[in-house]
Amino acid sequence: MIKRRKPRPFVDIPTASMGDVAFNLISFFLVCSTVAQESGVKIELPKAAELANLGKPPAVVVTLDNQADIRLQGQLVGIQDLELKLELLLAQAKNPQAKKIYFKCDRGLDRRRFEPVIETLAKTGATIVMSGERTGGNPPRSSK
Amino acid sequence: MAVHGTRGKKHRKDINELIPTAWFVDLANLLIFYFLATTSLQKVQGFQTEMPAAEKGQAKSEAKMPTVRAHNGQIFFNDQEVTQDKLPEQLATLKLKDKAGEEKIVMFETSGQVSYQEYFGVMSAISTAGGVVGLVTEAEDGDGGGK
Repeated sequence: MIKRRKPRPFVDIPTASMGDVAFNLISFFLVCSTVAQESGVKIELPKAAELANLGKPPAVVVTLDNQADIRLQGQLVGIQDLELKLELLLAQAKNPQAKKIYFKCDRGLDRRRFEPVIETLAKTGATIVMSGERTGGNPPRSSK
Repeated sequence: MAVHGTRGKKHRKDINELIPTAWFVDLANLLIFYFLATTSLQKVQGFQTEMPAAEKGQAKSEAKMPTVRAHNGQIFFNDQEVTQDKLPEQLATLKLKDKAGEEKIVMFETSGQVSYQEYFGVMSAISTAGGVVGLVTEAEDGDGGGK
C-alpha cells in the first residue's frame, strides 16, 4: 500500500513589517548620528576628572595627532592656512551659537606644537570645545 | 446586466494586482548599512571655552587677574606652587561662577616643557570653576603680549 504524504501547508513568512522596521532604524540613525568628519588617525586624548557630556560634536573639527599634523575636517592643513579655512567654514554657521570648533589633540604633544594651533582657534572668536576622556569615578557633569 | 458583470470581473482582477514591495526591505537594509558605516554615535566629553580676543600689549590688567602658570611639569597659582589635584580647590576660592565679564578671566601662562595633558588639566580646572581662560603668549619681539 502506497502511503501518500500529506502535502505540507505552504507557510508564507510575513515580511511586510520588515520594511517598516528597517525604515524606523534608518530614522533612528538619521536623528542620532553625525557624519564622521575625522580622518581615522588615532589620538590619545588627555584625561581629566571633571568633564561634561557635551552631546553631539560640533561640525568643524580640528585634530592634532602625535606627529603634530594638523587636520581640518580630516584633511591635512598647514598652520598658515588654518585660520582662513576655519573662517570660511565658520561663516557657514547660521547663528553665533553654532560657531564652535571641536578640538582634539594628542596628550603627549609639547606646547610648542599645540599652542600655535590653539592661538589660531582663539583668533576666530569661536567657542572651542576641547575634547578629553573622563577619569573613572566621577559622574558626568551636565553641559547646561 | 451584461455590462455590470464585466465591470465586476475587472474590479476583482485589480484587487489581485499587488504592488511589489519585497525590494523595499533590501533598499532599507542597504541604507542601514550605509548609515552604520558612516556615522558616529559618540558623545563628546570635554569642556567649552571662549578665549577672549585681545590685541598685543593688552595685558595691562594682567597683574590684577588671577594667574595660573605651568612650567616644566609644575603648576603655580598666583606664584604659589600647587598640584593638579589642588588647583580646582584654589580656583573655587575665587567664586568665579558669581562673577561676570573681565572678573571671570583667569590668565594662563606656559613656559618650558608643558605637555597637552597638563595644559588640558589646567584649562579644564579653570572652565569647571566657571572661569574664562586668558592665554598669555610670548610675543614675537619678546615684550610679552596678552591674548
